[in-house]
Amino acid sequence: MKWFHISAVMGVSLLCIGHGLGLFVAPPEAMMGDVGRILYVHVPTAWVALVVYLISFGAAVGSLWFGRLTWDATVRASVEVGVVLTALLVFQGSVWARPTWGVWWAWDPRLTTTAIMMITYVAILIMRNAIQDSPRRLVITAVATIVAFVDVPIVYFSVKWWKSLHQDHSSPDTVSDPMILPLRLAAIGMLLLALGLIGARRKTELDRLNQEVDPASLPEPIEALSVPGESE
Amino acid sequence: MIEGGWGYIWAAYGVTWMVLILYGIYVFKSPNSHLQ
Amino acid sequence: MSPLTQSAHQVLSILKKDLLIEWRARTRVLSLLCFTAIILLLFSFAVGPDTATLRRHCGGYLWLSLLFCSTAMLSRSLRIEEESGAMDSLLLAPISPIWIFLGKATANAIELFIIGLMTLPICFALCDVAIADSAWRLLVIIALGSAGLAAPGTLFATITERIQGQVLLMPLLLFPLVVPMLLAAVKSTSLILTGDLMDEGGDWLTLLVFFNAMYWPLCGVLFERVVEV
Repeated sequence: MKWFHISAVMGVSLLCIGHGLGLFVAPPEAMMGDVGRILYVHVPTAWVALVVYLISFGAAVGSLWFGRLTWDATVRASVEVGVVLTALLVFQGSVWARPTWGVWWAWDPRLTTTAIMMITYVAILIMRNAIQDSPRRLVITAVATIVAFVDVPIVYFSVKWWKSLHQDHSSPDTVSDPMILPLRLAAIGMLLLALGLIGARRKTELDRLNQEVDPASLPEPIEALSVPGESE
Repeated sequence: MIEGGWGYIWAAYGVTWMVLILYGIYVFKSPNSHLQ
Repeated sequence: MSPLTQSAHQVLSILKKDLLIEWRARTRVLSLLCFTAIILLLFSFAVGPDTATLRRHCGGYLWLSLLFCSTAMLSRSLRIEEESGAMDSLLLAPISPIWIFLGKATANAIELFIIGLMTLPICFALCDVAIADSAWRLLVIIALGSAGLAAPGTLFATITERIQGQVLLMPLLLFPLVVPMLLAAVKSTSLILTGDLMDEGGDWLTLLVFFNAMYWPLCGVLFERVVEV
């Protein structure tokens, strides 16, 4: 029983409680009625997807810095979990859009850019599969992930910058009191579940990588190299 | 105020849980157990 | 000679080299221009004789055409390095890869800018628009947009060049990434061509500058890691 098993189980439990409360106990949302309850699954998914991509960014930087396979496996795992979450996000967003605005897909900057981000990260996974050489794969996956992640804040701020149909970020401050608890529970639950999934996925990936790679062929960690531009 | 709409709620929650559970099964089922 | 001047010289020599190659093969630039023009034509065919729609979306058509053109241009720019092993020789020279990137990406940006400029009259004619606002601003937008495409484009072209037969991968990586920047370019171009009633142009221009400011340094630094492997 590893840490990620525990994390996943705790996550699922909290998520159950959060969703249960949100669906059956909390009052209907002021403007949207019962449909507003999608909030309890949509907002946590959005928030956790962002955190997961943050993890992938950190892992990508670590991957370049240390050059170790453990970091590479973490990048792979977190990007994959991120893709799953983002795909869910797009689906949920679309399901929310239909009763709210009457269309399955609105030209909403946030929804659109989330879908685009998903494609970017899927492309990273596709590209990763095409590279057989392990050191190159590590570097290129990391580079692509870093570049892709820099796009994420632009997604995040698109709600603020561009006029949109989307609601403002439903942070607990803007939500009425009885709704905060299920929201927080669901959010934390989802986070724990996501971390558990990443941990498990990472382990499988690491085992697979270690199987095929001779550790001596990995790229030099950055710290071992002299700073570019200085004379050798 | 939008009346009803529980169908959408079930769709959103249902698909989310299903995907998470299926993905969870895929991830936690260790394919490398034969190596140990 | 101070290190900064030395680096600047290095960047300039790479830049000159690339521009010289492009100049010598200027018929190729012509074919890129024709490619862009054809795409513009296809857009106007798809829309039909609906002048109002064409006029409203002229910015979109222009930038999409330029985007498709960039795919062809960028992959060729990197292929010529790969074919004769030129990139390996470049890397052996005492030039930091960051300056190689700077030189190459700038050359690509300039080429895109020139193609963009030459496509403008075609766009004006097809979509029945004229410059309603500042022409200088339009030039700046095209320059920033070209630069915004060139920086990540050069990086991704370098990455995917070595991957066997993955011609599709470069656009797949590049296009989603540059969407916010394209959005800004399209919006600001349309505003210039159809009139900026609420003075939104400034905001979009800021986004363009921001995007470039983020991606040029980032891609430069990452380029180094990519070519090392």
